[in-house]
Amino acid sequence: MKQHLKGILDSYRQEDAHYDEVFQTSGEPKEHYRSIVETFNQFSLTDFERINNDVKTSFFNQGITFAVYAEDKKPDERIFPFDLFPRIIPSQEWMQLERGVIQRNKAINYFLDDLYHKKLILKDKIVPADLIFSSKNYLKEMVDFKPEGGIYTHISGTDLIKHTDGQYYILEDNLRCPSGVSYVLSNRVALKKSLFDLFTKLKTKTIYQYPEELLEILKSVKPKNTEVPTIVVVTPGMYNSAYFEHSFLAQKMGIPLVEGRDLFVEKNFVYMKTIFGPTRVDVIYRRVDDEFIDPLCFRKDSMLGVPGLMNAYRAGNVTLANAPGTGVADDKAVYHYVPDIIKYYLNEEPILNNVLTYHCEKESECKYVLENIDQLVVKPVDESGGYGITIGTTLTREQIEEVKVRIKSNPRKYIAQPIMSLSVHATFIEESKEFEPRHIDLRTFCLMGKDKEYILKGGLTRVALKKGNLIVNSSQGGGSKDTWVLD
Amino acid sequence: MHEFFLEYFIENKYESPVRKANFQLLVIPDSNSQQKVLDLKFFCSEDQEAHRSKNIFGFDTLNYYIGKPFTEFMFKLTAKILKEDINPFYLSPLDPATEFELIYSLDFQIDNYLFLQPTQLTRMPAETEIPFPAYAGEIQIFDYLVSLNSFIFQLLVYSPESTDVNTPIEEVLKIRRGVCQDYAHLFISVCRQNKIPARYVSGYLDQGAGFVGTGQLHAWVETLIPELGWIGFDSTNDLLADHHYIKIAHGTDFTDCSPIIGVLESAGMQKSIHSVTVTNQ
Repeated sequence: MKQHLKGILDSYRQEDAHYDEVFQTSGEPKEHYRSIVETFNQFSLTDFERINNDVKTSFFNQGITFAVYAEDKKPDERIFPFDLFPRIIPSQEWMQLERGVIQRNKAINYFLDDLYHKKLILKDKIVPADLIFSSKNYLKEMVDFKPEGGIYTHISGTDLIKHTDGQYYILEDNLRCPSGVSYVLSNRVALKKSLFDLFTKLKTKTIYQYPEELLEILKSVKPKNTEVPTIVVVTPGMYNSAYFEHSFLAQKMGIPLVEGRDLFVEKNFVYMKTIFGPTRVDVIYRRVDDEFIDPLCFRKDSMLGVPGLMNAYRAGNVTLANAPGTGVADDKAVYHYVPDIIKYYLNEEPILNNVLTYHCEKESECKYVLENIDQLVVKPVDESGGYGITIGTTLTREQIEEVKVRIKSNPRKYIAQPIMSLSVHATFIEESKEFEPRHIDLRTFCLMGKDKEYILKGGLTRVALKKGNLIVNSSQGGGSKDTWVLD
Repeated sequence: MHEFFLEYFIENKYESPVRKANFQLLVIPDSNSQQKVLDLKFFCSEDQEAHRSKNIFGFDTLNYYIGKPFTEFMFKLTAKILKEDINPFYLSPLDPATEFELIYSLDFQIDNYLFLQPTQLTRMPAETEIPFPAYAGEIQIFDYLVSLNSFIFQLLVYSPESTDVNTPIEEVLKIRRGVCQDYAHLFISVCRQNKIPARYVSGYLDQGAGFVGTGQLHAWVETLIPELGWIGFDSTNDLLADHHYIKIAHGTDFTDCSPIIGVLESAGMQKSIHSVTVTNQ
């Protein structure tokens, strides 16, 4: 435990067990954090609280909220907690990260193309065929169908953490229209307003072009024979937890935000109902899950989809982003194979590390997991948002037994990983009115189109606000920080 | 050459007006090396032009989008079919051991994975006391399938309305009754357990022949035998598919072959009548 000199960061206490993003073990701030620590230390606590409150009000007024679901309860609408202390990533470190994320997503795109066509990676026994064929996200509707430009994952969110060794590790891939980018853009607006001088002094890379880049990516995959494509965002509706983001992106891109019921398919073309009559739709950025997008094809009871959409898609008359069936590749059981997938398609060594993963489907690994459950994180392979995750060290004896029963009843459904020690970052805690170390991760946003790719410089730094908590998802009480990538 | 005339008719009446609807029909007979479709005609009561589009297995569906309120939907299809003479007797040039090896090769299993994976409707319960014949490579696949066909024919009692299109195998095995879908799903299930690719087939069956399962669409199974290709088995009748069997489509199970799927915006109940006639003249 070390104390720092003067200012509001004085009382910050480092935890020796974790990698601290801001401070060296000597207690001095790291080079790239020096100016911000100096600036913050010039604020009085009152100044800082005032800025903090201004930002909160601004988020509230903009309606930047999300919904939390719990069983048997109405969804709870909350402001996404935001921390004023930005995470700063030096230029060199970022370059490495960016290359690694692009490499990974390129390989995953080849992987999806192969899985839905020749299946060579399965025949070469790099990835077990059973693992793919037993996945509910492997869609027969996509077999032998080539999406426009061969692009499956137009938008992907790769989650990374930094371990005690100071290295980045990939935590998971999110290939089914990941959320969060609207918070990144809103956080930047809020922070830039309140810390303007510092922001300009540090030469932070901009992120404002994201909506424009996204629009370009969507345009690049327009169906053949389309001149100027009509592009829309399809949302499940205002009750969806990410509705704010859907409307935000549509507005920033300057394209219509629609629901399934605003669209219809006639003679294999998709139309949007407008006051001027039906308008043909060419590209759909859909934020509706695969199984709900077309009741004629998938779930018959879906009220969110467009009947006949898959037929129109397969006829090449409309492009869906992301392609249906990408979920087979972000299955947490497939995660384990991604380094091999990178080597197989790109003939390159993976730039970013994977976390060691035990696969409960394999008998020997399942045995290890059951015996060491108190030291492992257990995750269901097909859930997102942090739901269903258990962390061994926090479980009671009864809970451990419960988890064991769950794993034994369906081993295919679970993977386990050693408890990775997420790095910590100084974060202002309102209860104590002090900066305290809190665990963080990073969600990056990578866009892929026909002959173009873009990665947002930075991403969403999620912070676990509860002391000692390792789960950073917003649905589990996490907040966020702005992420500054230096020039 | 055999000539058949067929008619498919369906009429849905709705208690309260349907505001809008999409219908997808999978009832057009397939055109392939064994059957030709002539004089195909179809129409629906809403005076809508149908849009023909291929489903994921390459079969022609008819699609109607009706954007104005209606209380009745009627559809009728007629066609003349020419069927090649089929002698359903097959002899594989491969010996049982070679067939077995092929069937168990990884490449073969990957190439045919769709017809080897259990689906909800073709999943065998974890435990069953029924001694289904097992394929172990001692006899040729064809001979094994002929015996499996008879086994299932004898196991179930044909009993209209004993099950519906969503009845799982577990239930069928409990009541030992079923209709053609159930025979087909059960046959598929045992094949897939034994690593023999099997697909669900829907189609028309010549009623003149006095088979069970006429008056409506019929279901049978095609299995993939190395060197012989896809061979049709009908365990509802303990027969092999010959020229009396007019195929519409195939898929992993019934859900890929539903003759009509509708997505409606409506509140009330519906009454449905449908009929199928096949005549050999």
